[in-house]
Amino acid sequence: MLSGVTVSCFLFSYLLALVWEAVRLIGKRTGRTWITVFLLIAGLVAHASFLYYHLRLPDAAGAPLAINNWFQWSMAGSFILAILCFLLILRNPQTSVSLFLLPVVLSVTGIALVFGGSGSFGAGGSAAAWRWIHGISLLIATVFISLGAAFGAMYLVQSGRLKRRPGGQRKLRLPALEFLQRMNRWCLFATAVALAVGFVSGILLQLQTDQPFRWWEGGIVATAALFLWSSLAAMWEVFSTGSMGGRRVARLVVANFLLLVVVLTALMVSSHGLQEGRQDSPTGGQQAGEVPR
Amino acid sequence: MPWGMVGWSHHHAPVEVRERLAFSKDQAQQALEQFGQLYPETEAVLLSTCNRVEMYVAAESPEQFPPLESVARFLVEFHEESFEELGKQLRVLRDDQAIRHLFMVAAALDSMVIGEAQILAQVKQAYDHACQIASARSLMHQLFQRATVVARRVTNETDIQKRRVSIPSVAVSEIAAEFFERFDDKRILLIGAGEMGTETLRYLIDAGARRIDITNRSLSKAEQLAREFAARPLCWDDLYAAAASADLVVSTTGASEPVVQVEEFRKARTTHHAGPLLILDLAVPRDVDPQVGQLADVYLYTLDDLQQVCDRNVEARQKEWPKATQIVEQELKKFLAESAHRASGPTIQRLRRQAETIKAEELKRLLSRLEARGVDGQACKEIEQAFDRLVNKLLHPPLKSLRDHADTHHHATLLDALRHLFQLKD
Repeated sequence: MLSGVTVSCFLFSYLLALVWEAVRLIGKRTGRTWITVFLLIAGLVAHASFLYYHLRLPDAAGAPLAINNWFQWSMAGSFILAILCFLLILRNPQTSVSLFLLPVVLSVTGIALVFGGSGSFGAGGSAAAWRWIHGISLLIATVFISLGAAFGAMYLVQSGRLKRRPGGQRKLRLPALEFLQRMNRWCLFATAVALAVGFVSGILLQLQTDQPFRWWEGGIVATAALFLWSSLAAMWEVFSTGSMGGRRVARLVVANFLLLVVVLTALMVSSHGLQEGRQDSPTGGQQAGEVPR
Repeated sequence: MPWGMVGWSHHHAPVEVRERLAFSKDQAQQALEQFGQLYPETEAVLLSTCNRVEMYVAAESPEQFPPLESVARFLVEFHEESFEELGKQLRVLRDDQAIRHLFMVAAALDSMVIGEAQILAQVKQAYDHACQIASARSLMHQLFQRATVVARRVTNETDIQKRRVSIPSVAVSEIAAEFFERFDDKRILLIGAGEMGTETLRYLIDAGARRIDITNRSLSKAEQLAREFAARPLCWDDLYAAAASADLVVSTTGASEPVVQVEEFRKARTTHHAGPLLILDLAVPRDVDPQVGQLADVYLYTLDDLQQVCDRNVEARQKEWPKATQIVEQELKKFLAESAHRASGPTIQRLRRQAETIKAEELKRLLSRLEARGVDGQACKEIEQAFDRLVNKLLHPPLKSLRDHADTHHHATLLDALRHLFQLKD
C-alpha cells in the first residue's frame, strides 16, 4: 500500500496549506489554523510513508533506513523542515509563519525533484561511519540554513514594517522580533557547527578511500565556500560588540540560503558523493533518473 | 413585574455631580439597608463607579413598586444634597429600557471607553453587596445572572474588548509585544516623570518587567519614582549610556527641546550595544530627535503613532457595535419572555384549577345520574376522557396566545384580560 504514496501526495498537501494560509490574509476565516494543521498532518503522514518505503528499498532484507542518493537526502531534509514548520505553527498559531516556512519546504522538495534523480551513494566499507556522519551533518546544516532563510525573511519583513508604521492588528501577523532574532542567531551558529562537522568528516571520509583526493572538485569547493562563509558570519556575530544587530544577522542567514542553493545545485549536478560506475536508481528497480512522483 | 433604574452617568452628569453622589462600599450598604426599611418588598442593587451612580429596583407587582422619583430623591438625600439641583441630570428608565441599560452597562457598551474590562467586575460586586444584606433576591438574581451572560457573550462573540484604546495599554500590549516575547529580562529605561510614562511603566510591570532604570533631571524625583516602582534611579548624565544599552526606552519629560540627540546617541550605541531598541517617545514636544529612528535596529514611536493605533482600535470596536447590541437585544427578548412566563405562572395555575373544579363538579353530577340509569363503567370512563379533552381544548387557545406574546407588551394586557374574563381571584 505504501508504494502508492508519491511525491505529489505530500507536495499537494503542503501546497494546499500554503494557499490556505495565503487566503487568511484576504478575509477572516474561522478555524483557519486548524485547517492548516490538518493539511500539514496529512502531508507529513504521506511524506513519512514515502520515506519509510523508499529508504528501505535498497536493502529490503531489514537493514536500517538508509539514505542512498541525493533525491532521498533532499526528501529527508524537506521532511525534517516540514516537521519543524508544523511545530512552529503549533507554537505560534496566530501568526503566518507557515507562509514563510512552507515555501522553503517546497523549495527543498523541488530541488530534489529537479536535480536529485540519478546516481547512488556508496554504501558499506570501512568509511561507512564517516559517510553517515558527513551526510547527516550536511543534511542538518541544510535544514538550519533553510529554516534560517525563512526566519531571516520574516525578521526583515517584520522589522521593515515596524520601522515604517505603528503596529496594531495586522492581517499578516508574525512572531515578535525578539523570537525571530533568537531563531536567526540559533540557525547561524547551528549551521556553522553542522557544516564544520560535515566538512571535517568529508575530509576524513576522503582520506579513508583508495581514490585520490580531488580538492578542485566542484562539490568540495562549493561546500568549503559555504563552510567558510557561515563560520565567518558566526564569528562576526560572536565577536562584534554586544551583537551585530538583528537586521544584519537576518541578511546573513538569507545570504546563507542563497549560497546553499548554489552549493546544492553544484553538488547534485556533479558526481560528488556518488559511487563511480554505479548509476542505479534510488528505488532499486527503477531506472536511472526516474523518481517516484 | 416592574423594573426600574434611576441614576447619573457620564452621559448626562459631569464628574462634579457624580462625585457628590458617589457611594463608598459602606455607604452603599447603609443606603440599601435604609432603602429596604422604606420599601421592604422592593429589591434593589446600587452600582457606584467613577462613571456612574445607578440604582436598579424591581418588585413582584406594580403595587409593591416605589415611584422612581422617590428612589432618586432617596439617593440624593442620602448624601444630604439638593434634589432640585442634581435631579436635572437624572436619568430614569423603566421595565425593558432599564433591563437593556443594565445589559449594556455590564457588557461595557455604555462605558466611557467602550469595551473596558473593569465594569463587569464592578457590576458583580454591586450585586454581591446587595445579596449580602438581602436587598437583592430572586428578581435581581435573575436579572444580574442574565447581565453576566450578556457580558460574557459580548466578550466572546465580538472583538469589542480585544483591542486596547489607551496610549499606555496600546504601547505595551500591541507595540512592545511586536518586539518582545517577555519583559522580565529586558532592560527598561524611563526618562522623565510624566504621567503617561509612569502609567506605561505600570503596564510593563504587569507584563513582567523587572529591570527598570529611571532617570530624571531631578535625581530626587527619579529616586522617589524608583522607590515606587522598585526600580534603579540614574543620574541625568547617564542618560545616553543607559538608553544605548536598554531594550526599551519610555520618555515623557516636559523638556522643550529633544533630550536625546542623534549624534550622541549614535556614539553611545556604538560603544555599548547594538541590539534592537524600541523607543516610546510619549512627550509633547518630542524628547527624542526623529533622526534617532533612522538608526539601524532602532524603532522610534511617538505619541502620534500610538494615537493612530488607538484610533484604529476605537474604529474597530465601533464596527463590532451592531453585533454587540444584537446580542443585548436577543438576551433582552429572552429575559422578558422568561420573566413574563414566570409572572403568568400563578394565573395559569388558577385558571387550570378553576376549570378542573368545574369539570369535576359537572362530571360528578352527570355520572351519578348515569349510574342510576345503569350505564356501565366503560361508558363512564369515556365520558370522563371527553370532559378532559373538552377542558384542554377550551384552555389551549388562550394559553397559547399568552405564551406566544410572552416577549411583547401585550402579555400584561392578555394576562389581565384572562383574570377578568375568567374571574380569577388571588
